[in-house]
This record gives sequence, C-alpha cells and structure tokens, in this order.
Amino acid sequence: MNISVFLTAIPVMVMPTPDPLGFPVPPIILQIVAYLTLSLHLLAMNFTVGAAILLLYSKVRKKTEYDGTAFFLGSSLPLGLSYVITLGIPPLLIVQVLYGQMFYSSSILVGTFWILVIPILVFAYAGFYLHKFKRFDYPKHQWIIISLSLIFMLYVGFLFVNNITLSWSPSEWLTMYSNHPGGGTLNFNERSLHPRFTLFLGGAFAMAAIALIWRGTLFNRWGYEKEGAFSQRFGRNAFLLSPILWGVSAVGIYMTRTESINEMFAEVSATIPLMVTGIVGFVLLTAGIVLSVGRKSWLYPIVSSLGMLIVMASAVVFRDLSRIKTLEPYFRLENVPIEPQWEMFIMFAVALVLGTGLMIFLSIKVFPNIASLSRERFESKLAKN
Amino acid sequence: MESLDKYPIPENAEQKLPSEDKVPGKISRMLLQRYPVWPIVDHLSEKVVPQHNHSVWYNIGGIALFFFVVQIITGVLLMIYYKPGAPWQSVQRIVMEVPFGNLIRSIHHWSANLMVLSLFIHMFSTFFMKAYRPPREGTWLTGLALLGVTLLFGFSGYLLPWDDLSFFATRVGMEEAEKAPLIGHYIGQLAKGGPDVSLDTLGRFYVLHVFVIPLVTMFIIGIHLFFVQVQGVSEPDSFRRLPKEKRKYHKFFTEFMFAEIPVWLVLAVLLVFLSAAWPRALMPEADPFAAAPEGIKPEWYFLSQFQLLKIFPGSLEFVGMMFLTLIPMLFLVTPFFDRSVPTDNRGRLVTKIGFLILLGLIVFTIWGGLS
Amino acid sequence: MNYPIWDIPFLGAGLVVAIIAIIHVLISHLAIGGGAFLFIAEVWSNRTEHGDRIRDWLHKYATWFLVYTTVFGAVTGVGIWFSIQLANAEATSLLIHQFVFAWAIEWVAFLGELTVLYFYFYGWKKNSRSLQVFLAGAYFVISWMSLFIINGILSFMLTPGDWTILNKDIFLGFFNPGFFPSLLIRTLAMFMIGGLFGIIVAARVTDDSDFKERIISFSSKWIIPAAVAAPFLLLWYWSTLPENTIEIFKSGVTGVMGGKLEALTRYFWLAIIAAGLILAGIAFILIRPRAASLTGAIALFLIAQFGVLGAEFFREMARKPYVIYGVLYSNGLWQSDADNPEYMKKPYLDQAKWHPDVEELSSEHGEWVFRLQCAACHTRDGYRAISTRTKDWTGEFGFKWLETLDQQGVMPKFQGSAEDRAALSAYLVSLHGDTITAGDILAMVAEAETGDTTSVTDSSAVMDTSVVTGEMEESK
Repeated sequence: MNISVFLTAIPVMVMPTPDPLGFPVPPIILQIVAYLTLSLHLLAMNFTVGAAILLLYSKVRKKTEYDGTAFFLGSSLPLGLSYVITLGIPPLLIVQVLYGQMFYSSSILVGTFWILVIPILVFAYAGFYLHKFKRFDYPKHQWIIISLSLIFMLYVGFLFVNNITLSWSPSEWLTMYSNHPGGGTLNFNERSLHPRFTLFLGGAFAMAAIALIWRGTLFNRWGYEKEGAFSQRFGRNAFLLSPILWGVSAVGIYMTRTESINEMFAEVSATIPLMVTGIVGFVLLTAGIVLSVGRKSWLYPIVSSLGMLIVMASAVVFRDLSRIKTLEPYFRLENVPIEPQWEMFIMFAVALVLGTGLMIFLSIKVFPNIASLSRERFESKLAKN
Repeated sequence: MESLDKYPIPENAEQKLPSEDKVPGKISRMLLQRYPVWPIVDHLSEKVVPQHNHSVWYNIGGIALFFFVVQIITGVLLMIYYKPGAPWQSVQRIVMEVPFGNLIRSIHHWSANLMVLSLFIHMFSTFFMKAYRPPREGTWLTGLALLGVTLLFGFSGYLLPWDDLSFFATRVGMEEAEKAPLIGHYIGQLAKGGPDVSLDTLGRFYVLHVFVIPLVTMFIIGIHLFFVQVQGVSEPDSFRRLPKEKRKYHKFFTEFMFAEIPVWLVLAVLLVFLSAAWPRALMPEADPFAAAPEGIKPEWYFLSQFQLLKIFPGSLEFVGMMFLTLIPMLFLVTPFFDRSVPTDNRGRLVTKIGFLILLGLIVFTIWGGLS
Repeated sequence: MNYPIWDIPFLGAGLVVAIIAIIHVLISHLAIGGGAFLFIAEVWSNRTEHGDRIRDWLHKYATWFLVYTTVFGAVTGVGIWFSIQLANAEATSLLIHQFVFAWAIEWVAFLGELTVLYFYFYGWKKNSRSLQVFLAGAYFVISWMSLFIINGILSFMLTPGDWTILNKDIFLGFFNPGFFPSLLIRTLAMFMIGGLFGIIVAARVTDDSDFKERIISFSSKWIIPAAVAAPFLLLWYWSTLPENTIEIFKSGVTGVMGGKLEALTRYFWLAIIAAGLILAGIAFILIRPRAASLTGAIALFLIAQFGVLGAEFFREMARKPYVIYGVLYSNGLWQSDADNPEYMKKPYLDQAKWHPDVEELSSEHGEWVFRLQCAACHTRDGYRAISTRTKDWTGEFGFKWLETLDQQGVMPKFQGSAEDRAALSAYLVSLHGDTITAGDILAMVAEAETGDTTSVTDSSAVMDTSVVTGEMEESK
C-alpha cells in the first residue's frame, strides 16, 4: 500500500514503457530515412518562410522592379507550404517509432498548444491561397494576409521546438503534468529554446535566395537578363542574413548547452566530421549563390542547392546525435527489441522508387509546359509596359 | 357517347399543357374536363418570386411550415402512445420501450423550438423588408396570429409530459399570466381548471394542443397562404427602384420550390442530429407538493417576457405588464401606420423602433437565460 | 496509464479527435471521389461535342477542388494524427509500430497525389489531352491507394480479426474482417460526394442553361453505384461487427436504462437517414436537372456532412470500451492485464505512472484515479459527463457499483484496490456536493459487512431503476 506524504520539491522520474511491438527494422535504417526527409522538410519550410519575408519586403519597397520576383514568390507560397506539410510526415512518423515514449509524453504535456497547430496551419495555408488568387483585386491589403500567414507558420515552428526539446527532458515531465494536466503549458524551462528556434529559421533567407537564383538563371537563359540578374542579386543580398542568424543562434545554443553536449563532443567520434561537412556545405552554398549573379550556367544553382542540403543534413544528424546522448540515462535505441517487418520495408522501398520514378517521368513532360506558360506570362507583361 | 357535361378545355390551356400523347398531358386534360380550375392553375404557374440580395429571407416562411408539418407527423405518432390519464408513465414508455419513441419525441421537441425560432426570424425579416405595407396588412395580421398560436402550442405542449420541469414551468408561467390586470385571474382559472395546475389543467392543455390549436392554426395558415398566392410575393424598395429589365424573377412552382426542398431535407437531418446528440430528457414525475426546482425558468421563447417582468417587482409589476401589452400592440398597428411606398419618415421610424425591440428581445432572452 | 491523459474540460480529448475527423472524412472522400470525377469528365470531354466548354467548366471544379482538398483536407488529416496521439498515445504507438511501413507507403501516395494534382492543374493550358487524362487518372488511382491503406488501419481497430499482440501478423491485421466492406462503402460514398461537388460547381453556371443541365445530369449520375450497392455492403459490414456492439444497438432501438450506449443507435439512424435523403435529393436532380440550385446543392453537401458525422460517431462508438477491440481499452488498460485478477486488485496509482505523490484516501487520490482511469472517455460535466451519470450516487453505492463496472455494457473492469474504489467514489459524489470521505466510505462498508450477512462484493445489489431514469437520456 502506498502511503506517502505529499511531496513537491523532489521531481519524480516517469518514463513510459516502450511499445510492446519494438522496432520493425534496425533503427539506423529509420534514422537515415528520417535524416533525409527531415532535411527536405526543413528546406521546404525555410523556403516558404523566406519567400513570405522577401515578399513582404518587396511590398514595402513598392518599386516596380520587384514585381516579377514578388509574383514568383507569392505564387510559390501555397506550393511551398503544401510540401512542407507533406515532407514533414515521414520524420514525424519515424520520431514516433524510434522515440515514441518520449515524443508522445511531451506532446500531451503541451497538448493544447500542440493541437492548435492544426487550425493555425489551415489559416496560414488558406491565407497563402487567398493572396495567390486575390492579389490583384486587393493589392493594398496583401501585406496583412502574408504577415498573418507568416506569424502562423512561426507559431507552428515554435511549437515543434518546444515539443521536441521537451521530449528529451524527462525530468521536467511529472511536475509539468501535475500542474497542467490540460496541456496548457510550454517548455520555457529549456534555456536553449529561443536560440534553437532562430537557428531553424536561419535558413529561410538562404532557401529563398536559392529559389531566386534558380529563377534568375532561367530568366537569363531565356534572354531576359535584366529580370534574371535582378532576381539573382535580390537572392544574393537576402542570403547574407542567413549566416548572421545562424551564427547568433549557434552562439546562443553553445552558451546554453547542457553537460550531455559536452560529453557528446568528447565521446562521439562523428561530431567533428559532421561539423566539417557542414562547413563544406556552407562554403558550397555561399559560392553557388554569390557567383551566380549575371550567369547562365545551371552549375551555380545546383551547387548552392547541394550545399544547402549538406548544411541541413549535417545539422539534422548532429541534432539526433545530441538527442541520443541527452537521453542516454533514460533510453537507448539499442535496448529496444527488433520485430522484423522486412517485407513491409521492401514494399515501402519499392513504392518509393516507383513513386519517385513516376514523378520524375511526369516532371520531364510537364515542367517544360509550366515553364513556357511562365515565360508567356512574363512576355505579355513586358509587352504591356 | 361523349358526355355532354364535361367541361371544355380553354384555348390558352391547350397551348400551355404538355402534349396530349404523353401521360402528363392525358391526365391533366382528364382532370380539367372534370374540374374547371384552369384559371387557378394558370395563375399559379405564373407565380414569380423576385430575385435579389435579400431573397434568402423568402425561404423562412416555408421553413416554419416545414417544421409545423414535422410537428403534425411526430405529434400524431406520439398521440398513439400518449395517455392523458397516465401522462408521465406513457411518455416514459414512449421514450424507453416504444421502438424509435425516443427519436420521435426528441424530434418533436427540437422541431418545436426550431419552429418558434424560424417564426421569429420570419416575422422580423418581413418586418424589416416592410412586407406588411398595403395591400398586405391581412397577411401580416394573420402572421402575427400564427406566432401567437404557436407560442400557445409551445406552452400547452410543454405540460404534457407531466414531469418536474413541465409542471413547475407551467405553474410559474401561469403565475405570470395571472398578473395581467383585470382579466389575469379569470384567464388563470379558466386555463388551470382550478386554483393550481392539476390533471384538469393537463386535460385542457391536451385538448387545446392536439385539437383546437391545430385546427385554428391550419385555418389561419390557409388564409395566410391564400393571401400570399393571390397577391404575390412582396418586393423590397431596393428591388422596385431597379429598371424593369433589371428585375429578375424566378418561378415559384418548380424553380423556387425545388431550391427549397433540399433545405427542408437538411433541416430534417438537423433534427435527427439534434435528437441524436441531445435527446430530450424526462425528469422525474411531477410532484405538486414538492418545492419548485431551483432556478426554474420557462422555455427560451418566453424568457424575455419572464425576465422583463422580473425587473419590475412588487408594485411596479404593472409597468412590466404594460410593456408586454404595448409591444404586440405596436406590431399589430404597424401596417396602418407605415403605409407608404417608397419608405418615408414614418417608415424609417418604424424600422428604428423595430430594431430596438429586436435588440431588447435578444438581450432579455440572454439575460433571462444566464440569471 | 502508461502515458498522461490530456485532460480537456468540457469537450474531452476524444471529442477533439471527433471534430477534426468528421471534417476531414467528408473532404478526403471528396478528394478521391473528385479525382474519379475529374478523370471520367476528362475522358467524356474528349468523346463528346463542346469538349472545350466542358473542360473550361472542369477548370472551375478543379480550382475549388484543389484549394478545398489541400488546405482543409490534408491539414485536418494531419490533425487527426496530432489529436489521436494526444487522446490515446498507447494505441497510437501500437498502430504506428505495427503499421509504420503501411503509413510510409501511404505517404508516398500523398506525395504522388499532390504532385500529380499540381501537374494536372498548373499544366492545364499546355499539357496535351492524353497527358491530362493520364494525370487525372493517376491522381485518382494514387489517392485511392491512400484510402486503401488508411482503411486497413482504421478497420483493424474495430475488427482486428485473427491478429494478436503475440502473432503481430501485419497481413492478418490489415486485411481484417471489416476491411473490404468498409473499403467498398467508402469508395461508393466517395463517388457520390464527387458528383455532389460537381452539382455545386455546375449550379453556379448562369449563362447557358442547356450546358448547365448537361453537367448537372452528368454529375448526378455518380450516385448510381452507391444507390445500387450500399444496402448489400451495409449488410456485409454489419456482419463483421462485434457481437456486443450489435446487442447494444438493438437495445438502443427500444431504449434501455442508463449505462448502455444507445447513442450508438441514434447516430446510426442519423447516418442512414442522411444517406437516404441525399440519395433522394440527387435522384430528384437526376430526373429533373433543372431542379438543381446552388442552395440545394450546398444543402445536400451539408446533409452529407451530417451523414459522415453519424457514420463516424457510430463507428467509433461501436468499438467502445476498446480502442483496439479485444486488445486495448480506451483508458490504457491492456486486455491481457484485465484478464489477470491479481493485477487488477493492485493499488491503481502504483501501476499508473503519471501522478504526483498523493495521500491515500485523500480527495486528490480520488481525482487522480478519475483522471488517469476515467477521463479518457468521460469529462466531469461536459461531454459524456460523469457528474450526470453519478448524480444520485451515495459514496457507499458508488463503492459497490464500481466493483461490477464491466457489467454495465461498455465499461472496462475497474482497476484498483478497495481503497481506490472508495477514493474514486468519494471524488465522484463530491462533484454534486456530497462531502463524504473515502475513509468514511470504507468504515461504513466494513460496518455493514459485520452487521449483516450480505457481502459487500455481492453484485446482486440491484440498480434502482428510478435512480437512473432522469439521466438516462443523456447516456452516450
């Protein structure tokens, strides 16, 4: 019988038992899939946020030379957000397989804020479509719509940072739950919360820049060099904000680091190579963007995209390693039994290959059509002016 | 040999009817030869409804009618099992034993509430669109009469389950009615059949609810609809100001009705949903000697009057009574006061006062509900 | 037990899932049915005269379709996922770990679906006819695959069939007894909804009534598969339902005493009546296309929403008290543990994790038992309120009643010791103002035990019918 005095001072540890079904494949496979898809998800998110910010900037500048890029950015916002959502599915799925006990617990602890992500996301998405279809009917009010959708997207990101950081802080859980069983609280006890948030957002300018570089290169090749170079220059100038944000955030995270992070640097051999890879990626990214201005070669956009992917992937892997290290006292991936589902995995792999193949095949047929529609539209706009 | 007494088909009918070799054509000619109603049919087929931004309000009367029809159907079904001699037990049986009894009773309850709501909406929409102006005074007055009998429907029906809630709500309601100067006491005695609410009251309310009021209602609805058919649907000022070519109409029979029917279907589903999610509860059987449950209140459509009377306690009661008499009076005389088309100063005054009354109704209803 | 309970006042976590899911189901069914519609309409436009006119109209359909299904459909779909992990993390974890690759394949379908739809829409003016037809067809096939997959997982929850936690046989679980009937019912419903959407978009055509009639006629034919096959599919689906569910349903028709889930019956009839009314409405439009109006079409769409509400509520309620039928109860209790009397008698708060240290028999003790064992399904005074259901309870009555909890139709066994029962009972009666303590209850019970020969645990303590009459109506 459990007779005890009401205790408040000493936090009691609580950790759910792992799922009786174990892992369907060795965790490293799932981790790799997660790294890839999470990176793509974050790239899409960075692009959408960056595009919205640059679009707002264009509206504020009010110069006609921004019209082309503003149209481009505004048109891609709904598309960007749809891929943010879709690409977010696999990492969310895998974090629940690998770290489910932690993730479900933390989700419920911030439950009310977490579920609000959904209606807020609907409004953000609807806002982008509203802009796309009504931007010429109500040109003066577009900044309100874009700002709101942007703020909503930032809310979603902030919630994810809260949830994930909370998922690797089990010592916080029981006190939090006892005080807020309705899930109406956030993880403000996490000292690195805000620097992490800004770190995620840092890539926004880089990704928007990359998109503008691709566009600029395409326009240069079509012969519209004025618009093309403007697009590239706009991208390059915007890009410069990313390293600043990244730098400041990294300093913040470093200053609020926990003991586990120190241990990780000391013990995990992958940390230094990862950081080096990240730096190499950054160099490629910068070179690709800066050198592209005025040029027609696809090399520059490709290199900058690749560089960005490398930067993102390194960061994602780095974060997972730090998570694993932080959770070490409570949970280890290798302790979870594996109940193999190889047939299912193979079916998934086949579906992925076939699906990707079909998409590539269709892209080859459709992209030229869509591109030529863009070209015609731009041509007619030029003719009008 | 061809019967000599059969009526001839009028010429313009021949042009408008479906062709004789098709079945509808054959049937319509057969009927017209026996019942010479072509002028009526022709008139009805030409009935139009103006199409404009406020056209949606034209549907509300039909919606109220729909709910009334639902009440008749569900009411008849309930009558099969309801026994005025053992009211509570029979309702309990309906709700707990009779197949779908629970559903039918709950639909009856919800449809009653929605009918009253749609009547208020219908009344205020016709008021603000000034559809009461000559030549439509009669339509307005019969409409007000219908609202009145519907409230009586609600009040009388409320008692029939004979549970705690019904009994005490009726008792409280009768107490308020008896406060009317001069006639209050006599109305009370007549309605209650004695000094207090009893099974004699139930008997009276039952007869009123299932026989007298339905007959009266159907009669007045008949007159009301007859007026609408004969005079046509009223057109608001904004519509009349349009040049003739710009005024759009669509036909009542087929177009307008067909648009209305799916709305009725949605309302039917809404009733089923409300009954599924919030079925009507049956409280314990009425005990006249018990104390009234705390905070007993009449049903929502009487809340504004109830609350209004509450704020004038004791000797100031007559002030509340005055308001309760004055407001219906104002509505009754409106078509005789505001008669001009287009709207003049009187008309604008009437709109303002009407708006204030509507606001008051809403405020007092909410106030009554919360307190 | 293993996870904390998301304690939302008034609504309850389950209702949050329901609200999001009901919105999502209608839109997702539109997404797939509309895909079929686009495909067939494309083919039709190539084979009939004035194909260009039809395709112009189809562009309007596709625009509304694109925005509606991506913005509301996709996000509410993710919303269901978000909300189920909050409402029942244990079950979500089980499903995820068992079906992760099924969901991964479904994700490939989502990605494909979205991309193909964008190709179809954004390449509209330039893509060749055959490419457009291919894209529309591909969209339909891919999106139907996503239904195929989620249907397997969803139907698994109600009818796991021969799957057990021991055999972990994914194919047995996925192709469970309810899989095919629900797949087919949903597919037919989707065609109907796709057609209904066509009527809505067509009703907005004002300039050419002959063309409008043609499109409406085309759109309304989409109910025919549903109208023809639905009754048979329904019977088939019915035959797969758990026995207990059918019993409760039947008792709900004639009405029973408090505790049984006759709401099951009510929502079933809502779904049937709604379906019947839509079929009647569209059949009417099929016969007289000129009868269709925008108001009417939207009204029918609203009826479909109510029908979805009824059907999904029915499906969820059919599964109570389980979240995975026969395997896991909604409150986190595993069937294997429930079958172990030793385990069930242990003090509850020793087994349940997510509570601070509380003094035994205190009011906090009772509250935490309620929160962790009961709040998964019951709010205090909101949806499926526990206070209404216990409003005539005394502390002693509650204590006895809890022992035979699982005999009340859709309740799991009570997990915990006598102290837990006393604490919970004291907490529940405190909700209507009774101030008895758990200690008092135990004392009263002990006295009664020594006083007369009737055992405290004798479950022949008959429930007084008048006690529950008043609140019977609200039992859900």
